[in-house]
Amino acid sequence: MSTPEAGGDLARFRAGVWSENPVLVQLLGMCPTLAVTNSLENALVMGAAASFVVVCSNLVISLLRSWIRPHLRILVFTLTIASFVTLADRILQACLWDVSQKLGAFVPLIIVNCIIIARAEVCALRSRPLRAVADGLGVGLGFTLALALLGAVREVLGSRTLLGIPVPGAGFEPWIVMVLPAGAFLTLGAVIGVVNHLRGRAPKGAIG
Amino acid sequence: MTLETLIAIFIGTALVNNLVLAMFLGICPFLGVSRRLDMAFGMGCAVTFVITLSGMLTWIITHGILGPLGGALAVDLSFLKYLLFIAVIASMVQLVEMYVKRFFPALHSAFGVFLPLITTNCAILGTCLLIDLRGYSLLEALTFSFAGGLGFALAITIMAGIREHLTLCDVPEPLRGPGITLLVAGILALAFMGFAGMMR
Amino acid sequence: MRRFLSDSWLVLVLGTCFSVALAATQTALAPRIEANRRAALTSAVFEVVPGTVRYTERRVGLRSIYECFDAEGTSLGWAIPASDFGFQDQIDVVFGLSLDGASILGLSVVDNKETPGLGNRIVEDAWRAQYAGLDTGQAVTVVKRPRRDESREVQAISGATISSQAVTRIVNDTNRELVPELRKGR
Repeated sequence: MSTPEAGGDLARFRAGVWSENPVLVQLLGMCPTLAVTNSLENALVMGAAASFVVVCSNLVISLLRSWIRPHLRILVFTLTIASFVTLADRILQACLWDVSQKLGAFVPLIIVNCIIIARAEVCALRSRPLRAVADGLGVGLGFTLALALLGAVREVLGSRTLLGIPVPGAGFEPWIVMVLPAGAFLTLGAVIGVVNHLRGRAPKGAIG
Repeated sequence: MTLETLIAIFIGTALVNNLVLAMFLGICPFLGVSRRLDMAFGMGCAVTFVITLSGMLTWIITHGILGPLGGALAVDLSFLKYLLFIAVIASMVQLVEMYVKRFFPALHSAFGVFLPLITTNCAILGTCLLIDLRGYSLLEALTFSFAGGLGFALAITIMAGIREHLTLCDVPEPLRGPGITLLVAGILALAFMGFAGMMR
Repeated sequence: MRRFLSDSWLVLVLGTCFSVALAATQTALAPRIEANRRAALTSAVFEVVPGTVRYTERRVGLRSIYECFDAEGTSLGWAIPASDFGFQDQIDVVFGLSLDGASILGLSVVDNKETPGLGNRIVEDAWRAQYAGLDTGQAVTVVKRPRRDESREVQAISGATISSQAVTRIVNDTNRELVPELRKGR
């Protein structure tokens, strides 16, 4: 895994999206990935919320990095992340009530999303604000894309709709298991298998 | 709230709506610590302990402190909830780590970084949040969190048993590690769906 | 004490700043969130007791129920919120009872986290319409074939038996407790 200081801000952004994709490569943030991808809409909103939190928390941590004591840093991270998550949760409840109800407890669970704490520790604590924001955006986008991929697959195969709109030309019987918990595990396992195969194929360092 | 309700919550949470296999909480340790049976079992016990205590403490905080304090100040203090919950959980985990280090030092070094990582185990925060969302009473909250912990321990132990067997199998290269673990988890989840009829 | 402060001043300052910011957000957004919560309830009440123009809250024991009035102020019936476990999680419903508590006027599923495409289908109009006209005299039963007795049977959604039974159980349990109380009051 490349160090945060290596390469430019753009490289950091791209790394977050592909070569260090938080879900498919680093295998972090599994819980929401499995839980909210039963429909594309849920997946996108969760991705957006998590992106908001990771960008804001990375920015704040980076701005404060010279003052954070090492043995108290987890506390500072958690405090920051929890506050932004509360903010995101309230905004969702005010503006997107229906989706926030469907996401349920998983919005506040962003607090313990390993991705965000990991980015704070690995990147934001040691980088300039601009780099931290680029990292946050990249990781957020990577997370959202992974969620969207799973959400789309599970929704199309499981409910024969996409974003609630019935998929035309699909005459097949929906694979109900796709929208059930079992389907989440199976889909993610298969997707990771495919991603590993693709990464194994390409020469090292060629991706991202 | 009768004994019947409590039993329903207990079985419902441990088996039917298993925290890991149905509600997707605690997946990270589920994937990370299930390689060895003894570590998995140890993690299951630690998590059960932390969940039960945290569930109760956060209930007490919500109903015993934030509620009355908010009422006294005529202000809705619920925005402090998440901050307080995570603070409680972090403290609980710190306590457990100190206890394990003192009395089971071998286990402590085997666990390494995974023990403090219980703090970010979404199963614990998730349980506290669900107790709050569902408006359980203290006894219901206690049953729910204990059952949740047991369910997690059950799932992670079964998975460890299976994975130990898998090391002897010829798994295709791209699927080794998380890929095959997730596929097995999917099949486990399907199996646990069979418990759904029990709630009647 | 000084060492404690020099170590943790950042945490304390951050904690205070965030609490203030969150309190401000709460104050700013709370009305909208409350309105959203209410909107869900209001549209459900209007739906399950047709003709309702306004409603007032009444307490029966530990429950809050709503008495519904039409434009002239005549009492039309009751809207009862109730909830219990479904397959996946809590199901929140609001159903309408006639003024004498003898029959159900309609049912609306306000919130559920049932499986999309399966248990989620309890929100469909066609399925919920079965509840209109049901008798409260005896418990409603869920059947897996087309209904023969439309005053006490509801056909389950295929593939979502547990969710269908959960909704019926909610209605039955609530009626068992409420209908005698309502009859007493009148």
